[in-house]
Amino acid sequence: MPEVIDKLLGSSERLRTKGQLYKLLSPGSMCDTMFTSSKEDSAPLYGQGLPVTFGTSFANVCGENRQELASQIGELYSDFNDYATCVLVGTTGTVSFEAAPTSPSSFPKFAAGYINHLYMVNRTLEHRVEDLEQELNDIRAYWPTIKKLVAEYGAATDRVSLALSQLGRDYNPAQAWRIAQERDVLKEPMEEDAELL
Amino acid sequence: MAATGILFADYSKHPKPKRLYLDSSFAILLLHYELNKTSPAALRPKHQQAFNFHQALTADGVDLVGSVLTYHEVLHFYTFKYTGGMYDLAKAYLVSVGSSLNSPQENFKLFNKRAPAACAAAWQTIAHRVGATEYFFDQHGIKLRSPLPSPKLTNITQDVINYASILKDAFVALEAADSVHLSMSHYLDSDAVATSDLGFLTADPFKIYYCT
Repeated sequence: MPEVIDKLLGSSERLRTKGQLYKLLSPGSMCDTMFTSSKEDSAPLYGQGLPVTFGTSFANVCGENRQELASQIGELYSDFNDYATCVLVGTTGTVSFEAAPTSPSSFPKFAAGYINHLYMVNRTLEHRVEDLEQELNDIRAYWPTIKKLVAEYGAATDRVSLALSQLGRDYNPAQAWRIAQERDVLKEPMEEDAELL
Repeated sequence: MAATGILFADYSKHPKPKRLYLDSSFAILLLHYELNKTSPAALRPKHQQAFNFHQALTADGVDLVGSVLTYHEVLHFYTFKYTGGMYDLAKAYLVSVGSSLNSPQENFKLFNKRAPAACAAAWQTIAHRVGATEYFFDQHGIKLRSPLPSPKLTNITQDVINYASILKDAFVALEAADSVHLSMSHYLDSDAVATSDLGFLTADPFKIYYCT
């Protein structure tokens, strides 16, 4: 049961992280500013790497594992682009896209779709996080009982293990079955009553 | 109303159960078959029927479960009542010393009390039956489960006993252990029970697979 809880917590944390990533990239964020301030005649950022900056608290969500964070950001961008990779250095990095607007004139439309997609995915993720948190809260009510059960079962198992280490050295069920098949074969049926309990 | 009874031989004519609870009488038939399959003279038709039924259940992937009670009764049968078991050994000892005979249980207690060393030596000749019993359940895919966790933390144990008591109270043909088997079969979420004990057939609303 503790493993299940850890897994749920882990899933929730990963979703929360992803949700935070979307929020970071949603309208009003640094990326949004970059899109809206881009001029049609300016060179597209795609292919050259999109610079991103993360605050310390956000980076802390993923701990010291930069590779994991970069991988998640890459996956995030892949939701609206066929392929994206992210390289992080400290709390800054770049995101590169395989597919990009083919001309500067198509860039605003592409960016608008990009932002809308971010909104929708973010909303979906927030709902999933809420659902998971609700499940966790339901389980938390039983957590003291579960811990008590596990502790009691653990203590009993320890006692049994100790007893088995002393008593069970010569206990070999497979060998016993072989002996049974040699020694316990009858020549005639037992009395029928003998099989009644 | 009585239970829904289905002969082992008619198994394929009915919807298959997902989980079947095995009472000890069925497990004993199967154990007897497995021990004596090389000695046909020692087998009765019901042993073969139990084996065939088990083969069909296994082929269909039916979840086979028993309980602590199933294990206890099969172990007792094999180590005490089966030919050459402790009841026979106790009787042989008492005859050899010219002692009068009583019930098998009393003979065993007397043997152990009067000649503990001889009793221990006799036990060693059949002690393999304990391990063999456990191996038998394991090899036949019979999972022994029992809804009996800590009484401090749950009232399931009490619920099982309460249900068994009500069943025993209601059905005269059920023996005490049978009522506990039936109670646990429901608490283990089994669709039906396999047995050779015809007393089970009186218990509504259970579905019973049986042989005669």
